[in-house]
Amino acid sequence: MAPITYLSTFVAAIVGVAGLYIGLFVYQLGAPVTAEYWVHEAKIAKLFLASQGSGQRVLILGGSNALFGIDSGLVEKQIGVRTINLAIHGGLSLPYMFEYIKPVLRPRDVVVMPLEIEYYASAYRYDWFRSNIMAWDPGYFRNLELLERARFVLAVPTKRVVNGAIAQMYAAQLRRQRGRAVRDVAVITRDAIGNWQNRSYVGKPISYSLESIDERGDMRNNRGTRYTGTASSVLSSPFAFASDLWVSLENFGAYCRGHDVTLFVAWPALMTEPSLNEGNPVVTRNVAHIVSHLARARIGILGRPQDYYLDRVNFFDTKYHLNEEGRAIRTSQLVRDLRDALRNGATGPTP
Amino acid sequence: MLFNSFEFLLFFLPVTLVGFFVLGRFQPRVAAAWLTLASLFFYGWWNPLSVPLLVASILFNYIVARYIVSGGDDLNGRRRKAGLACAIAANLLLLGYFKYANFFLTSAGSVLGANWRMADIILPLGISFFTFTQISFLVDTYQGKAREYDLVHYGLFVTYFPHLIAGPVLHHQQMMPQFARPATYRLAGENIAMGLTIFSLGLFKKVMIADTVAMFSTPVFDAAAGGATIGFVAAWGGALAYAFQIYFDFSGYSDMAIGLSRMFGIALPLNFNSPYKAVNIIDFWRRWHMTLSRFLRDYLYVPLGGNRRGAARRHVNLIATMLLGGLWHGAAWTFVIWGGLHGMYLVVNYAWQALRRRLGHDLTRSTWPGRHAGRLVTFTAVVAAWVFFRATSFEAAVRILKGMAGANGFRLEAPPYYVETLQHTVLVPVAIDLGWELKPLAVLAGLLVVLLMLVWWAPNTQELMGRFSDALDPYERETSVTRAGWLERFPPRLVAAVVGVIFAISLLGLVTEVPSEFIYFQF
Repeated sequence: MAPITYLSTFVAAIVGVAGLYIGLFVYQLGAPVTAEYWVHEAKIAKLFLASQGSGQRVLILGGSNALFGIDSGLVEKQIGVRTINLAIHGGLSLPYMFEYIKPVLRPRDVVVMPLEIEYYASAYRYDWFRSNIMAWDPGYFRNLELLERARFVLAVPTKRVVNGAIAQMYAAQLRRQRGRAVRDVAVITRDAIGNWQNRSYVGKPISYSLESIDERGDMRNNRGTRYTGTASSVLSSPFAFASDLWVSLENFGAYCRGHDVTLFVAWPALMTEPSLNEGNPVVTRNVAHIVSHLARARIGILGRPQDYYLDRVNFFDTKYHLNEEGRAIRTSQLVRDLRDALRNGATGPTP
Repeated sequence: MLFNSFEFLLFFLPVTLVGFFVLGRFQPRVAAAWLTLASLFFYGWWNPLSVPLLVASILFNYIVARYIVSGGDDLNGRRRKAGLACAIAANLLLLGYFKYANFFLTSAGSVLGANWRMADIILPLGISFFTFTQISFLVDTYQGKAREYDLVHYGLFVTYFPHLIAGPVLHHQQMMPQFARPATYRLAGENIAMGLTIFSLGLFKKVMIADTVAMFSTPVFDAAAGGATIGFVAAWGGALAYAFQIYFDFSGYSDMAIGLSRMFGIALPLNFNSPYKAVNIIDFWRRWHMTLSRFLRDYLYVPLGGNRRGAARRHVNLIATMLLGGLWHGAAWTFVIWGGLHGMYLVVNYAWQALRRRLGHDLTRSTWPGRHAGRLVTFTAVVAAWVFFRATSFEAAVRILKGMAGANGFRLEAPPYYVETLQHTVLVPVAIDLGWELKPLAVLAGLLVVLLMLVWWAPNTQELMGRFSDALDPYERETSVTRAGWLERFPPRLVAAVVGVIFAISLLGLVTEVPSEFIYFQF
């Protein structure tokens, strides 16, 4: 047999297996695996909130540090502009968040993004994100460009695909027994409106669900187990920056400018710890890096990171989730910085 | 850069291959230089700071070799001998500093109650291999066996990436003629096809078998290192799993190295020949890490006197060789004990053969039960010795051996950490959601039985490849297979398709996983 025939068959077999794998991947999209379905419901509810009303808004975008840690009512009262908290979960990728917010942006809106520091690091893995998207928002994958779709497929562990395929085979049983169905948008919206009308979040223990989200998009009942884990922040470690992050931010910044939307990045609330002190050269380097890249992308930054260092007693469950007291302190600082920025039209102070 | 990584498979290998054959069309020497530079790049991927050390070592040994050759007129051969002695000493000092300095310091310190340790020394990857390769070159030069002293070819001989990190240990006279042959630099479809086939088999062994079975050995050895009591099932499960892990890891590596080299038109010596099929420990060492065994035989055991000075001296030489062989693997007493155990096994084996000869037995004849009993005894002895090889301390090894001996009872029960590992590594989460029950003992037993059948009765790569294996191992006639191989019984198109599927499945096993290092990389 001619080597070329042998090699062609070899390559054809690889292509065949790749095709079968892609088929399996597509088959398992939307399978009822273990996932945080409430994130999807929160997203639907928040999009509904942002689609209502008229006039200028302040829109908060980010992960759970903003979801739990900003009192939108207080911002609205102090700034005098309707404020909606669109932040959901720190596991969601920035491109996903940008695609999520773009349809509801309007001219004169102000977007504030207090991004968790992990977003800046190249080591930040999006395994949670991909697994969840496949479970409750497979449309996102289908709408990606071909190259992005290929990257997505290659970034999903084979074991997750097998897991999804088995779940798809037993989908009816899992939906029945585990209640993992992705609910219809209309049903989610109706439930959310009902919750807001009944103020069903008042006086209840914390739950990571649609029920805890109020009519401004804030997560309520910020009380839980006192966080006892390590306070160490990525900010004080010599991490490598994610290069594609700057591209995403630059593109989104350009989009906002093109639609008369003001965009600010803010610092996340961090738990005070010795390594975050101002003399630490690693912190200084990391902050300078973030500031310079954002300046290059023409995106303003609100305040200084050290203004958002809070005591351990202001957190619960994780080192990013602020309780009621922490939320009040952090929001007051954010209001000061936002007011300054809006008044001065500044692109953000340097650290 | 690992053979089982995407950067190697998708970037380094294609670029190096294309560059080699394009340059080889015009100027073979430039192609050889390109392959040398690519190999240095491959080596520097781990730690660029190690590259100057490797280059300096190559230049030093090359210059000394030229000096030894130029001393041919020296009537007494003193200059040549002194050059050889100094160069070997320098090589061993370099190896000793990087690999053994802290071992000896801490050992001496612990005896004297002191805490001696030099600043952290970063062990350059593959130093044991390139040191041994160059020592054999120097000895060959001294003995007049080395014929060619082209610096580019010598640099390629040492740095050639398929063997640089974990062998096989090469001989100068095996490689230099191949580098000098113009045909090497011409692209041959058959070489690419055969190389890819062998490489794919090796990749599958590493990614799908060795890395999987490691999940059953690592938690046991970790528990033993943490001071836990190891039960009967865990002890045997862990020890057997490690025996299969290292087998498929090294077998996979050897296949991948041979396959890669074959793509470049260069044959590497066979390094692995179904060692668990060995019917005695002497046979085992003719099958496991064959090039290292031959190195130790030719450059240590024979110079020590070998078997030329009586049985007692032979036994001493055997144990000394195996102790040093153990120490070569790693700077720890557990490796020394492993080597010592194998030395003792060899002594017992030779004594047994001597006794049988005295009783008038014909050692060239054997029976089916006899062969299988020998295979079982040899395998068990090898597995017991692997416990010392793998354990992080003497105490941890003893804990596992105690468990294997039943000192902690014979309950057929999987330990909790084993169940947990199995749940997280074997089952997918949805299986637990669906209430599928996991039977750890059945999973473990099933896996081990399948692997045992594979290593005892399945054909190995050279048997699969049949007459093509002659190209794999043109130097060792005693191990070469000249009959048609298993794969040749099937239509070539079917073979190509199956190998392609195996390759693709291995790649899927690598998706998003951090590729694991080969065990022999640490040596």
